[in-house]
Amino acid sequence: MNAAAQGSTLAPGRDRKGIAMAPFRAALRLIGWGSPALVHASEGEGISLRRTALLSLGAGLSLCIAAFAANASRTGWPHAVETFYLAIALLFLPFAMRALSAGTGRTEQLANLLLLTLALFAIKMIREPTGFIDHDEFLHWSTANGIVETGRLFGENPLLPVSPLYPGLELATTALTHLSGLSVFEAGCMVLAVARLTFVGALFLTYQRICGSARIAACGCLVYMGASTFLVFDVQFSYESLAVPLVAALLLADARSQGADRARHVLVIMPVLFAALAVTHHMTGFFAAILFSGLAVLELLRRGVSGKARIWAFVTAALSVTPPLLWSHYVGNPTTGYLGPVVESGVREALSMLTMSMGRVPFVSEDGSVAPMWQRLVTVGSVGLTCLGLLLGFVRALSMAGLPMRGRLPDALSGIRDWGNSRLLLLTLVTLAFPLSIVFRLTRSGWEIGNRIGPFSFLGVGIVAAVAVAFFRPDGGYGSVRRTVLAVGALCVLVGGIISSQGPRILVPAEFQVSADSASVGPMGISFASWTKEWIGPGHVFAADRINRLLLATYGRQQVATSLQDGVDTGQAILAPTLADPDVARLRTGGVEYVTVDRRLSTGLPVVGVYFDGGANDNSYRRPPTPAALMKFDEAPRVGRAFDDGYIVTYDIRRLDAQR
Amino acid sequence: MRSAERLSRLALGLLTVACAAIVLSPAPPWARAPFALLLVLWLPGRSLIGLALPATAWDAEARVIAVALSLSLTVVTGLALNVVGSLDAPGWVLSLAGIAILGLAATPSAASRDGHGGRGGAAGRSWRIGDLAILAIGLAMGGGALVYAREGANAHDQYRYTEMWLLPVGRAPGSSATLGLRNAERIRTSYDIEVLDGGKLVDRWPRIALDAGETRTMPVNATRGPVHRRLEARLFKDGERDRVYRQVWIDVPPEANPTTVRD
Repeated sequence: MNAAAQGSTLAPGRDRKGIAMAPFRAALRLIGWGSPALVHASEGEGISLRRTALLSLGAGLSLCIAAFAANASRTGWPHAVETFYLAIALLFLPFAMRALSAGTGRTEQLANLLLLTLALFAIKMIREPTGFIDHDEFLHWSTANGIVETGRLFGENPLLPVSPLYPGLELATTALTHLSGLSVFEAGCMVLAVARLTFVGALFLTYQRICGSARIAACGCLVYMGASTFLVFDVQFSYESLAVPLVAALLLADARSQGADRARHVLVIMPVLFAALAVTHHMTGFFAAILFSGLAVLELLRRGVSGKARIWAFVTAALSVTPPLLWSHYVGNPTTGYLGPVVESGVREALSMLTMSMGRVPFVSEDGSVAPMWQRLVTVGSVGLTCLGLLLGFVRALSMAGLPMRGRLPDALSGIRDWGNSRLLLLTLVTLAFPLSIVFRLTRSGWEIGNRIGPFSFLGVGIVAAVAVAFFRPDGGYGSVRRTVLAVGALCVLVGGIISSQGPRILVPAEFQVSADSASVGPMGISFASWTKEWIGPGHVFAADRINRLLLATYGRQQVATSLQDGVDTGQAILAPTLADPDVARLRTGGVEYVTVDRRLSTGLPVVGVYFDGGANDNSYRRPPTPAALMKFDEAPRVGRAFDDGYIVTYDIRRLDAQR
Repeated sequence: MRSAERLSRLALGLLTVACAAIVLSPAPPWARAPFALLLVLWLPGRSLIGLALPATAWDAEARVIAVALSLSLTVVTGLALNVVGSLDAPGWVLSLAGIAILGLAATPSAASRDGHGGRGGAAGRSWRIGDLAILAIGLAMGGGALVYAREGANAHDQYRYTEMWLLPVGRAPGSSATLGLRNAERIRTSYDIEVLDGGKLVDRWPRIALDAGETRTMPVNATRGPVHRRLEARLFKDGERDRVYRQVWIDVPPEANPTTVRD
């Protein structure tokens, strides 16, 4: 009896119900409900050095194009940014194509991934070949300088008071500085490169351990590279750049801690990693604690787990929770005051946005500039492709983890505790943070939270999307057209991630931009900051704008007044139309000796939204300050004008209060 | 096999000692850097892995964890060094090399398996000179790109300007203030300087020529009087006397017995 005949025997009511349910069933089939378990084709171990060598040749060529674009950007060539992105595409595509190929062995997958990682790190170095240029890098550079100069930890850092309390990255860097004589910049870049290679190596090997396929693991790593923080943010000289690799190493150590070696992994190796993580970055430490606690909960819930395995899972969770709590207590719980307001306002704004009452306009900078159309399309496409990967991979990954994702729901629920792979299940559940990060990214104050969730949510997104890709061709035997389409999709996710983090400002432009971080750091500001160190001496208190205070604290080794450290917004005094008594009081309260005024502030609104550090009124300027307002210190009696280069002027206000 | 293990451990021990000696030597940074890298990012973790997992194959996973462990041990060691006040080169060398050597000494004999077994072994490798040459060319191109980008960044200067400063600190004997100039106009430039004390012209330096990048300082003396006064320096560029190019000043505080201190 054929299907049509079977259908004709159904009662009319059931027939209608069957027809109505057909799209629903099709949708369930599409997302993987009822899919057979994934059976991998056998994968080799070897490496074709010829292919890896050819990939390195392509990478070298792409880096030359990227360097040309970066230099051209400094001379004002209008297509520099597009060329730079093209170089990234030319770099990434061949590696992605090779990763999807059926004949790529495990060793070659790993070698190619490490080569790609090194080349992408070189992209960061091409952006900033002579010194740190991104905002957060200056914050930690200042801490590292303090350690090198004083030989002590926990010194003051007014730029980011919490930074000296989490000195993991700075310790590794200054160890290298002390031992080699290299500068903090050079030593920091070496540590960051090694940390990045460790991260991708650990991620690949963890994925491979968890899902048993080098191809899925390699695809997962390629998808992970689409996290908005991957290319730039997580290789900045900033604490999470070391902390995230430590989490990946912990995941790997946990994944391989089986049998007789388990006790040694858990009791010898992991405590050292957890301890270093706890003193490296607060948020990542707490994330690791949540992750390993979640794993312990899953192991406790899972049927058929031995009591011994449960105890080890519990011990691992305890080890993950204890160091960050102890360290946070030891350094005085600084994160509550530091992160609390950011999280609070981010959540408030996210809730308001969900009710359509407010939010950040996507692709529009704070100074009103709009991202080019192609960048908007790629970013939207990137989010869409990631969502598609999650849609197609989520149920399949759960199924791969051993959950019974088939049949009727009650039947499936009856076997809900029978999964076999808690680690894959956990990483799959971590992907639920991805939509949350998107919502936060659409808010003004929560943007940073969304950005910080990225590296963690993508730990799951990577493997789930890779499972989706693998399920359609478990043997990896994609034709060249399909491989190209998939590789272009991965490229779209990568470029979309970069754009959503850096956008059109990925390269240093020819012209100075107001409060645009890497686009505002230039030789003139550096020369001025170095001048203060040579001629005034280090350690004086300066009030200055966002960019000059970074330069003064690092190149100049000056103390700078910040609202984070002193609770006083000296920026109000600098931008006020006249020098009134409250402004003088602000400067006095902050202990300010010198005021640095950058006349270029009057040429535009701040690109990142603030002229200073986001103090009381710093987010509310709707037009640039007037030149007269900036130069009001000229008229103040008993104020010296110590330095003038035509753009940056520094006033000596040490006698300012004597006449008031 | 046991002698090979012993030899391998001995080689690691000697490497550690060599690294320690070289990083403490007065060799230039580029010569010390590779050995410092080994000491910070490899040897302590390698040693701890051998100690903790004697039955483990020395595979790709163990290598990755060894690097992460080295970084972690460096961080933890740094905290300890801070407590004893030895956060300096000798402190780092003693502690990191000490960890590495102690770990090697305490490692059970089955621990070293370099090059034996492990899933990251030599299966399927085909090392040919031509492939290695292509790989080297690719890496060289990458290195060249970095050098090229560095040159571009060094050449990038958005502004032509002159820095001028006046500080109430005399660096020359007998002076009470210092006036300074630095030419960042990228070409040799001629300047005129006027010094005014309380609005009255007291000194001039006409036709000062500075090469690109050159710095010049001049001693200035201030006359202290019964009230606060302003000692001001004005800079004119290329003979344009109608436009004050830069101006700086200091506040001169009063003194009980005013004396003329100008040279």
